[in-house]
Amino acid sequence: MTIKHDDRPAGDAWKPRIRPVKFVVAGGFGAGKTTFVGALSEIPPLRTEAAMTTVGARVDHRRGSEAKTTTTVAMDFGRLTVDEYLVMYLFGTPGQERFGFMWDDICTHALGAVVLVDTDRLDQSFPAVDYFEAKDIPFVVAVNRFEGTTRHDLGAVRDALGVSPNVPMTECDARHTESAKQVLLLLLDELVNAARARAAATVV
Amino acid sequence: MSAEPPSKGHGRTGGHDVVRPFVMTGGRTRADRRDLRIETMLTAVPGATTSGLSAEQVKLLRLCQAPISIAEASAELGLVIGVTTILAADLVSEGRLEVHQTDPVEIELDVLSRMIDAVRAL
Ligand SMILES: Nc1nc2c(ncn2[C@@H]2O[C@H](COP(=O)(O)OP(=O)(O)OP(=O)(O)O)[C@@H](O)[C@H]2O)c(=O)[nH]1
Ligand SMILES: [Mg+2]
Repeated sequence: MTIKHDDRPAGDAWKPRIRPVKFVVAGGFGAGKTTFVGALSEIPPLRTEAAMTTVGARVDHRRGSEAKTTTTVAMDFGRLTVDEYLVMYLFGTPGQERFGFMWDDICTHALGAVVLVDTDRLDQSFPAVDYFEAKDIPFVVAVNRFEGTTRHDLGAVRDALGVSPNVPMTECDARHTESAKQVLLLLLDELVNAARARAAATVV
Repeated sequence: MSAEPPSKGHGRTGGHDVVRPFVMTGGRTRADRRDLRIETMLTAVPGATTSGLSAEQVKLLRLCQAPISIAEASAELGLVIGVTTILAADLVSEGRLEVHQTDPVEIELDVLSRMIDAVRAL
């Protein structure tokens, strides 16, 4: 059986050429990650699973054998096709801290990240902030406005999170495309500034 | 690494159940290719045959007739990311699948402005 290719020159003439660009949407449990991805994605967010194999979670001493178990965890992602050569992917990280093992898989070579913050559960944002700072992944902080939550001033949230003054921060409502758009544009602006700075540094 | 025994009905899962998803990779839990990430795009090599492939690999190769990311292929196949990555790595080394450019390069300004335009147009 042969897989057919209709519209492509054969052999060497055709070269792989689509460039995927990855962004990460992080935040605590229920912070609005899936909602945010869905607001921007051209497809309903897709769900896939990653697995972690734990050796010796249950050790049977009598037989001297280790039980090897695998835990899976779901993550959501969405897609935004820029043109036929460029596709943006938005990956939501799993909310719970115990799935930190997946973060490297999700974040390696990510262009940037959005940290969604629920001000009622500020502490849940710390792992994401720490991670992106440690890995030097550019990120912006978006404070999600949930009904009934007291309005926090962004300066206070910044202090509480301990993020540096040059990390862009904004409010958003992840349920609305327009609002989610502004957050992503803020991140893209940040990347433009970084790219300009790099260009200037190489010219000098 | 030795193959795992066949799973007893735990194969597919929604939550955080205990599963044995790596049976179809012969027990391997990591691909030895570092260039295959969740966003990596794959395309079937023109003329690639399916001879000798497992049912899952055949499905994967079919999905890759049009460029598709590992993450989307995983969602489509209902396989965990790690398993799809290993199946794909085997197909790449057999010359049946092609990996789109993944060399991490610093993002260029013109690429960023194309993204900005696309996001603004949403
Ligand atoms: N008021 C308000 N509600 C929101 C906002 N974003 C999300 N929600 C709601 O909050 C709930 C949780 O949102 P999700 O998008 O599922 O959150 P999540 O971060 O993906 O959750 P986990 O994956 O379970 O960690 C849903 O009912 C959303 O409709 C927001 O900006 N404002
Ligand atoms: Mg979610």
